[in-house]
Amino acid sequence: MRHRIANRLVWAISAIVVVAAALVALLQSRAG
Amino acid sequence: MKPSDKRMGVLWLLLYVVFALAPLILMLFGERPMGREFIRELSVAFGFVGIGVMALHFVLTARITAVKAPYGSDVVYHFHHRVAFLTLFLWLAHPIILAIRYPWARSLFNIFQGSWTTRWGVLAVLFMLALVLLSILRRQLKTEYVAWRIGHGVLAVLAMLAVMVHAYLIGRYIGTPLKHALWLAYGAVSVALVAYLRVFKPWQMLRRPYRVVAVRPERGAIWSLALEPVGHAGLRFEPGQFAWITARHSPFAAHEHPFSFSSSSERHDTVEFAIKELGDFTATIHDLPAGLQVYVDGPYGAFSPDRHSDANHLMLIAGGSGIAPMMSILRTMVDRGDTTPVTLLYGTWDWESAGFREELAALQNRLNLRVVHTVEHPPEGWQGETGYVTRDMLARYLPGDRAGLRVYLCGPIGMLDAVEPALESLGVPAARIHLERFDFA
Repeated sequence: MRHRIANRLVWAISAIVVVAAALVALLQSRAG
Repeated sequence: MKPSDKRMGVLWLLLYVVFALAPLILMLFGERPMGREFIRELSVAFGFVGIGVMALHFVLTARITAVKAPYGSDVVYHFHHRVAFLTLFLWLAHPIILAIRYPWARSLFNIFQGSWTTRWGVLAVLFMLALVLLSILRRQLKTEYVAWRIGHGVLAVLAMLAVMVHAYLIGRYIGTPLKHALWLAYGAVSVALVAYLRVFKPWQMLRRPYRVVAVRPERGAIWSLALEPVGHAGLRFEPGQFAWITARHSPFAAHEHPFSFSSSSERHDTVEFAIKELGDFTATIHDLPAGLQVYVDGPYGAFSPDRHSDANHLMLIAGGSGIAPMMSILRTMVDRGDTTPVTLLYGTWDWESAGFREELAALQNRLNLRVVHTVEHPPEGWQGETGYVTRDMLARYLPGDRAGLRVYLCGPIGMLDAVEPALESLGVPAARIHLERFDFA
């Protein structure tokens, strides 16, 4: 149970990290 | 789980996300360089968030009790193993995106030709690759556990330092004093956590040594190791928890191994561990002479009935050396006069290797305990259960009221993977099944 929750958390965190990186890259690419 | 543990569990998770993303978010604050193509900025963003995620591995593995308490050590290590793949992905994505999009960037990755700025980056990625591959292949390569652990720690520090130098030398996005300070803090905290684990904790252990009182043979190639504190009051643990033991080495040498307590948590004059001969260190346990000074770091782990006081029935399911924490739970119940009904389902190779079986038989007279043995290779005339713990077998021994039941499961990984879903299919709520996977490498 706890391991399955941990697996889901890892997927959720991975998604957050990748989306956040893409968002920051988009904002930065339009800077200046 | 205690309500305070639950709150702390959510808080640590939020902090994890904040600290993982902080280097990335800070890219957008203060003085910012001119924007470049999206794909190039994405490569940089992956690199930055990769550093944030990497730094947090040092927190996950620093054995900080407050961090581990809400989840249990095995879950934190499991998380560490899984997030390692995310970290590797981010660290590899950074150069690979550049190499695919910009042909000129490919020559930079030649470690013999590039500038030191990129060399540090290439080195960091190589260290990271070695870190992950050596961990995945540890068993296939038959690497000795202690050697692997030391190498793992050294590679992690080298990877972190190399990537920090790489980002620092490039300088883009970290030009302001505030950003400089943040980067220094990430590097310093990572190194400080390694120092905490490898210098401060060993120093604490050195000040609180233990002495071997006895090493008793049990059935099933299990040894009971009894230790007494020397010059201090000993430690307090919950039945089911474990500690790291260092014997024949200085606590600074990182020659430590995790074992479950097997004695009652109510007894403080001596603590006992039940250790099965399985690997390089455990095969030498029986040679530990009485009087030898050893070191104990603990307790750790959330696998304990003390964390859940609402059970009206305990079901303990053990396979092989998984009996160790169960002995601690049962012996503690005797000392506390606890009359909660307990069923112990205990799987062993054969009847002769059923460790503690005489004591378990005797405990049935002192506790509200039913012991059920299942043996893979039964002796002639055996009338009990045989083979692995199956769904049908569980159905025979589970109490009718499953809402008030708490199940504690400890044994080989294959057994845990088979029994946990079987219990759920029999109506045991997933949140009431607790298990310990001893995989802290």
